[in-house]
Amino acid sequence: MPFVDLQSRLGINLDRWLLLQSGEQPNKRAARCHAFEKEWIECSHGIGQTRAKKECQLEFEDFYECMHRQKTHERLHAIRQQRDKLIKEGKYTPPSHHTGKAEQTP
Amino acid sequence: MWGRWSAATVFLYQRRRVSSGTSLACFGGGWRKMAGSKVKQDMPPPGGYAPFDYKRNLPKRGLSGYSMFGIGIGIMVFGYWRLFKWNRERRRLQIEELEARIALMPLLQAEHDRRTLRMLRENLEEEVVIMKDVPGWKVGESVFHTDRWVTPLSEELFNLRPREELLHKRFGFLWYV
Repeated sequence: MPFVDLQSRLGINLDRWLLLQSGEQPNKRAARCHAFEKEWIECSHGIGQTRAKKECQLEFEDFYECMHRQKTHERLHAIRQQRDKLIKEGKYTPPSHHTGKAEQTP
Repeated sequence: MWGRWSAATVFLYQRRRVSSGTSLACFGGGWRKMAGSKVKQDMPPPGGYAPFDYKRNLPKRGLSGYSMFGIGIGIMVFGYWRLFKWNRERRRLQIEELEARIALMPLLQAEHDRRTLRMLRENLEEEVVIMKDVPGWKVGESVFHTDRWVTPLSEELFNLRPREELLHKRFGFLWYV
């Protein structure tokens, strides 16, 4: 409950442990978007939702992008489309390390 | 009539002779015992048979129940002792393996990082070549507003490589479906 905060009053932790990716994780393994979430929360804490939506939009967009990677996938897709188009037109040949024929060295 | 009767008696007498010691010749008239017959029969040897034991013979032999339990429990205890000893040894070996992993971690992490950076660099150079004529494309543009290092996805690293390599990276170690 928002103003009662029953769990703090009773000193128990029923579900607060799973609310945040940036909280304490088992085996101390950090989440993939830990940094982005931490930044967003630090930016938007205590200023109310209306202000947070305006002022922390960049952090929120970064966090959202980290979680869903939509812009990343669109970008990669565009590059791949363009490459296939160029290969079809014959203007581009992929180098050896991109065709799987070069030997794999670390 | 008498002649016929005596002939029948002789006939039946001859038929009946191999049946038993005291043969009872049984025919229409009545019963008649044969005493003192010279019939060949299967008799015991003279002096009788040798004695044999006919009473129950269930000798007490083997271990008692308590000792069998004792032997079983003893074998079990020995087995447990050996098991615990070997488990302690396995724990020591497991700790040694973990220590080896910790010792090798810098090397493996460095190799992995070099490989990641190399692949990113190659992708960047190819991107320059490919997207040369696309209007409004900024090469190497980060999708994030921050300039923190973001660990690249496997899809980013293997973008321009055959799809099989990406699948191998993601699912190569997986045994279950």
